[in-house]
Amino acid sequence: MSETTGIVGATIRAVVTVLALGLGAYAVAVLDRLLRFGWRYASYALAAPLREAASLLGQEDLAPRRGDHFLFVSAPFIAVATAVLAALVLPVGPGASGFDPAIGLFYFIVLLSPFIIAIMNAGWSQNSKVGLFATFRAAAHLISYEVPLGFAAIGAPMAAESLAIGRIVAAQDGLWFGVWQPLGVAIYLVAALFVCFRHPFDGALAGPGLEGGVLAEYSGARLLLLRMALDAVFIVLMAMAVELFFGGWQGPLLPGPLWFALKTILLSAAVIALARLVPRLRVDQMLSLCWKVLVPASLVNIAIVGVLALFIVGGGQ
Amino acid sequence: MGMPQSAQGIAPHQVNRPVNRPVNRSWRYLALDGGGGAHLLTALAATDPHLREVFSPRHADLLLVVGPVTDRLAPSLASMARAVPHPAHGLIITGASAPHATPPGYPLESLLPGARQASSPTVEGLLEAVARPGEWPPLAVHDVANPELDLTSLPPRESLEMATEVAVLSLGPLQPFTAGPLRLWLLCDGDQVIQCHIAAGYAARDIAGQMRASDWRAAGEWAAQLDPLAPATGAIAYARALERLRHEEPTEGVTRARVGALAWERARNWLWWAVRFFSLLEDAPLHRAAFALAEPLGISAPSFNARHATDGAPGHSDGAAARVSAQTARTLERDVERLASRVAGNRPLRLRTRGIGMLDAHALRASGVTGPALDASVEGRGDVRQRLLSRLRAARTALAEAAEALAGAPDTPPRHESRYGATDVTPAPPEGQVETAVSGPRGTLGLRIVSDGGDHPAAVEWSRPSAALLALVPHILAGQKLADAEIILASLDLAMAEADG
Repeated sequence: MSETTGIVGATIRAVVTVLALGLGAYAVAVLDRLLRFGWRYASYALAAPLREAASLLGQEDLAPRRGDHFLFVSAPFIAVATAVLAALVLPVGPGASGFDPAIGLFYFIVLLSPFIIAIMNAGWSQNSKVGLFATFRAAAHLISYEVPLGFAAIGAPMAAESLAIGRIVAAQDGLWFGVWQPLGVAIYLVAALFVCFRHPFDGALAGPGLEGGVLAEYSGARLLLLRMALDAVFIVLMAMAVELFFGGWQGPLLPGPLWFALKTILLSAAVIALARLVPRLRVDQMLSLCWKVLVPASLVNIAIVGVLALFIVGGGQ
Repeated sequence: MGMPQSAQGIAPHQVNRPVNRPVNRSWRYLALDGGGGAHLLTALAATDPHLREVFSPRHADLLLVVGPVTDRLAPSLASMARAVPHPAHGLIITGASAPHATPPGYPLESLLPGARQASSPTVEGLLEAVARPGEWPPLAVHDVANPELDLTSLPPRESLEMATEVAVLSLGPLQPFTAGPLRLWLLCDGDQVIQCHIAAGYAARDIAGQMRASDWRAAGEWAAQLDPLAPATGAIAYARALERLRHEEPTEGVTRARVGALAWERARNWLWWAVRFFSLLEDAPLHRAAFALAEPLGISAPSFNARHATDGAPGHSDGAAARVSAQTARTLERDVERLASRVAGNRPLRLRTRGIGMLDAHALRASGVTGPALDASVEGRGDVRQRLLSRLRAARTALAEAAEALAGAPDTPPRHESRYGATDVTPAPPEGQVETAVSGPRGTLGLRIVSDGGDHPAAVEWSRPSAALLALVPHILAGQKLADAEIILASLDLAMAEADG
């Protein structure tokens, strides 16, 4: 009986996570349009993602003739599945998460690699030159973001003395980690843009140059899935930033999940708006930024956090 | 003629005026530019959120073709159209052609049966065509014979130093880095371009040949179509040539009007180019700022009537309208200066554009390159950043020139005295040969024309600034990174219709 209850509970949590992630991806698509065209097109921004989804669902789903069919077909599903699995460890309230492993942050960072692999598969499987070039660029992402992202995120578990996301949020009861770890926040957010191929690090999807890059041969529902996965991973990364640095669900008056959603949306909007101020970077410039700036800065951040965690109230509990 | 749009009945707000019938769905369009649609497509991409530009045919549900499409370009267009997943629709935009000079082109109605036609080559006309109710048959493509095999061969391995694994990347002929079609084969070692080969001629209409086969009046209309993005430049070059053949001098009013028209046209081209360039870089703030400057200048010059083309007197509706345009030009001049300062102080942009695509001034002069590409190499390092700054500064100067010329416009339109009456007949000039040069947006446009006293030109030869620069493209792109090659190519501002002639 208890086993059945457990399965039902897990299924409900999984369904809720998928729905929440879908809503999150929709929110990112709306924010993208709002920030691009302004508030006077708010009604358009709200309706356009749904219209576009309906249009893509009704369109032919073409596959390249001599491509790797299995990789081509599976890549969108792997990308979406990765986003969902990563989202499971994000608590929206005390104990309210898909599951809360003791190594939550580690699990989360490890799961981001299959996402990049899925994107690489999408490019590689097309049997086209543009897909191949875009795959090279995606591979450069894979080796670029992981170290700074992990090093920047590690400041939070250092302060909370736990890798469990719920405990990290609880440790920020008095003071958000983001207040005294601004360098970690900045590095994490830049690395997050790498992970989800967002501007200015969208060379692998680069529109005009490579005709859509890794997405070039996708159409219809599969294209919709890949686009949703890209937006979903972005919102998941922003949500994790809220958990690690901005107190997660904590806040006065409003219910915890609402605070969590509000903070995530605001952070997403801020990051998208700031990213739009910079032109698209070249692959080698991205690599330089990663290895010459982000990695050394993240090591410095670890040292600073290590010292501050001993003194700051709320850190080093 | 190529005068300020507000003075010509095409209002500045034309670009961004809300469409009467609201667009009731979102479209993802793939744009195919035959050579004259660069400004229109740039304006469209920046204007209406209901139409989103995509760069892969697989992502599109609307194929948007700006004609004319030449016989050589038609097979590429057909293969592109076949790659669009169904259901999808087609929309054809053809330029307002002059009455006596219709550009030769592939009949798009038969290539894309069922495609709609836009009422006018404007953003508004295009949006109205999309929103028009009624049956819109799905996109269909007729077979078209491909007269050429788009193949290139790899160079021998021993000729490639340090190359590990070479891949040939074919870009074009429909690509967004030039105004019009151009095919590039980039031999890449990873992200590094080792060699570049180009294939041009996709926008060739044989304008010189058409002029030789036309009477003197229609020849003027053809001259205006040499560069569809800068019709006043071609028309004024032709008008000056005719005057010299006839040993005439234009009146002061006509000269002033021409100076204003040319300056306005240069500024318009340079500012729309800046919008396009920032769009390629995805630099949102600069893109928005440049669009705000380009929009008041309009996207195209109205069609030329026969008399304007042959007497070269750009017409105003009245002097008051011209003075309003002068005021607009003065305001824009200050704003362009501000944009240039912003660009100069923008560190991320400097990181992306400095030190790439450097061109040597001596090499450019030796190749006959003129205009902003040469100025950037004379004034500074001749890299992409310098070309951007040079064009913005040149646009400011051009606006100042236009403002000065327009401010003094008389209340009635300047015209040649009615030596030839009000008829549409342009008498043949006497025997002779002349050369003229006009400063256009892409450099000095030269025209040599020979008259044997007959009713049409005996010989016509154009010196085209984009063609001179195009010849250097393989040399410029070799050794660059792939991502840089695209930016460098865009920074050259090649107008393929003008380059192909």
